[in-house]
Amino acid sequence: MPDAGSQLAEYFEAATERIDADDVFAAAAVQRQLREHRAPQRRVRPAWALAAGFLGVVVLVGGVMLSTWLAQRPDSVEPATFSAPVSEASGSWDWWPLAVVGGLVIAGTGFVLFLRRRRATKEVEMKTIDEKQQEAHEAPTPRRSRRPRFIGLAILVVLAGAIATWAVIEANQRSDIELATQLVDEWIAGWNAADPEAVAAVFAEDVRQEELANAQAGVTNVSNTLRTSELRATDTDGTFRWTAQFDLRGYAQTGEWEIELDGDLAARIEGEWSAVDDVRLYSDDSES
Amino acid sequence: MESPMPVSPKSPPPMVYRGEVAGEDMADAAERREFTRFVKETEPRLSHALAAAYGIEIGAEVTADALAWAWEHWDRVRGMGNPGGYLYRVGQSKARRYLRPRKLFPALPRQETPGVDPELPRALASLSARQRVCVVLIHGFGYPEREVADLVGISRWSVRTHAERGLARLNQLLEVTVDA
Repeated sequence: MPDAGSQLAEYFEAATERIDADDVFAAAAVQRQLREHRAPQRRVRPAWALAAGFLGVVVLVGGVMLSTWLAQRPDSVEPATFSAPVSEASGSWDWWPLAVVGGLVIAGTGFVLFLRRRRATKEVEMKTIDEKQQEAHEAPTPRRSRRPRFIGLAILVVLAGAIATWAVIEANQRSDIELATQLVDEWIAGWNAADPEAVAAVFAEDVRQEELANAQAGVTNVSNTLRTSELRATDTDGTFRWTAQFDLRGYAQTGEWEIELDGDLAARIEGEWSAVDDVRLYSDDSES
Repeated sequence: MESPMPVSPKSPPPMVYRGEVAGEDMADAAERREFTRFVKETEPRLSHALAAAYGIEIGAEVTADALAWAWEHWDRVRGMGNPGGYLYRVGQSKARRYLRPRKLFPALPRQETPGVDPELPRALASLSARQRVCVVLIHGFGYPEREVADLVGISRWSVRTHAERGLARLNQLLEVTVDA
């Protein structure tokens, strides 16, 4: 066998299809015909709409996540100071699901338009090429890559799934927080009204009272201050905690309360205050 | 007298492409001759380089695409200092649109290439793209290292290194004994 260099030359001379200038001129003429019959390009191209929609969604989601992170940062200096009511804080985020859905709709529409335009252009091209040129192109050509299309579609699907999952989790957390707030309101209202039925309605049927001492003395002040306290989730297993600073019999007090949910009822409410004995209400299941 | 093709005042002006102004009559024969010379000079190393880098099939496609692009932008290309290298880049860009076939280098019939080891296509595929380009152009077709460096866009020393390693690998795979 000859050396590798000679073999390479022989192989490539035999395998490589040579191209001369006449081939180039003919190809240029075909391209010219294709351009003449190609659908006119729109001013706002679907690809641009797709890119703008995608970027919009990314910026929007990033902004929302950043804002959420900033809003959830713990107070570093004065942990016992009053915070804004939870109802006002949660109400400011009602706009973002609509904006996310809008961004996804824009991105999806742009993507569909992009695919439709490509298909229409291909049909025009196939009609434009005359039979002789078709014969010349009948030789099998490598398939054009669809990878960018699939990647774009996959990114959109993953993004939509991630946003949907996040939205569901966020909505569940918010609904749990609202439910916990409602239970606290009902519980305090029941105490203030001296209505045992209203207090009992907050708890599951199997709840039992373990200890209750001096709580009634602070109920009125607690109810006034809890409404201006911050209620925030501290765990994902259904336990919520809020901190409050209030005035009890002329003394400034701080405390922490936790609520553990069982379905849509409170299974455990526990509070510890600096001047009030502990108040604990346990479910039989949670306190064994 | 009404125009047979009414044109909206808002319509953009028609795009003008090479040779289109007054049909083929306006095509500059001198430009065609000049481009023909350019193709004769550039096409061999361009097609061999792209075929070595991306395989025989895709290499031919992207060579044609690159040369068509050169003719369409001939006013730019003719003034370039290294048009071959630029067209190699164009070919690389065009090659990204193609899926890689399973066989970059198909086996050819023995009667067409009696002096080629049947293992050569497989051995070529085992080299890196740059090694293939350098070894094919330098050891296969005898191009100077400087020309290959300009075409591929790497240094002359890198070209030499790729070519030497590629050739050594080929000799090893083909079990070619090199006399010192």
